[in-house]
Amino acid sequence: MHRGPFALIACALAVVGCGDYTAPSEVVNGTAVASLQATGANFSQYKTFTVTNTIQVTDNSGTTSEQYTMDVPQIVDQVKSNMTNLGYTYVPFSSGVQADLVIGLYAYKGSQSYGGYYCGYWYWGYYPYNCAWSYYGTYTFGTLVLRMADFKNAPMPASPSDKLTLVWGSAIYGVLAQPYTLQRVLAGIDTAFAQSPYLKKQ
Amino acid sequence: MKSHLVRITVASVALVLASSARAQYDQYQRPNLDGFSLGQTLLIVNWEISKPVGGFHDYISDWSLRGFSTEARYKIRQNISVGASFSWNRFNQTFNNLTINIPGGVISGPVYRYFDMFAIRGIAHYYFMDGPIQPYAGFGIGGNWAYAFQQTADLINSQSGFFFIVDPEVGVLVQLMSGRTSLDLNIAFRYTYSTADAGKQPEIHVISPIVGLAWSF
Repeated sequence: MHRGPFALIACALAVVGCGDYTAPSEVVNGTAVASLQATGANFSQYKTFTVTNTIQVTDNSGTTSEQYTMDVPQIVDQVKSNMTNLGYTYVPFSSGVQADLVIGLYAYKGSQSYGGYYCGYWYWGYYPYNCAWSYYGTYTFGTLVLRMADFKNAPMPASPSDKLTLVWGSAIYGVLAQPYTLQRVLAGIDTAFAQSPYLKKQ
Repeated sequence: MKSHLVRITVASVALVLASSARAQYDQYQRPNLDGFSLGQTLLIVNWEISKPVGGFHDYISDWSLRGFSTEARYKIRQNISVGASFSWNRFNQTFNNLTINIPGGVISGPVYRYFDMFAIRGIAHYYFMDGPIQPYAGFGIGGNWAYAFQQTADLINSQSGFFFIVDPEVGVLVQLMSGRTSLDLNIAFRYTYSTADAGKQPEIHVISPIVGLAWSF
């Protein structure tokens, strides 16, 4: 007898209940840049730096030991240029290099299923905040990670598995995945340093 | 004299018949201008437009056009009704570039956020007037299931759970049509508070202009 309300409910549900549960492409294919400093880091004490001339690939299975090769010289130069502009003196990278800061570059590439957490995977678990984030869907991801280690006060690691004393790090999400452009990678590096004003030498 | 008596009798019969006809007309044709009355049930379907306020405004600032609610009210006194309601509201917004503080630093980039809220409440209303126009004030109290989602590039984050909700409102019922089932226009303004969290916001505040149709019987 009182079918009016229920018919209207059905119509309202049909009208308002659809769409927009996935992020727009400009977000999915955009670049997110995280920059983090270690608690108590004092950057005024550092004068020289170097940048590794290779980019180590790490995939989500943890079994890949290959090197990332695409546009590596330009990527390294962009890091070098930003550090130099901040007032640090560049020291060419070589085995056993003596520099206050060593910046290592890493490429996190692979695919991840929906809900797979990435906790503790980058920065060697140094920043537990990232436990809250996970990769979305079955996803091919490509993240460029910069790690800045203190070699002025901390000893050179005896083996690659030893932990470094990290003072700064940045993760530039999405730039090594498709759609890939070098400009996007370089812009991400600029953003990583621009949003870390405490790195600038006085 | 006899002629006079006949005239009076005819006039009386005519009057009685006329009264009877008027009574029948009243019963079936005269509009019922009482509005929502004691012992009646009112079913309402509302369209809700919502605006995040307070801390929730920092999470999503856009107006939401996506929301509806259904209510069932029963008048236990001439000026008081009790009932239940269900509502759904959805908020979403895309930010071209956001910089967010995180422990030890910042993260920046394009961000997409949405927030869904399904609420069920017990409701009570007080009506200030009888008749075809009934202004009222009321409130709802109950629980809501909420889901908050954030994405930047290929990273997502979400929060969900079942939370407490309370929402006072003011409004008016305006009778549009009457009969055994009457139709009213419902216009209301609601403030919603929920303990649901969205991103870094620990609680939800929303204001909602509401328009709907109400059937009473």
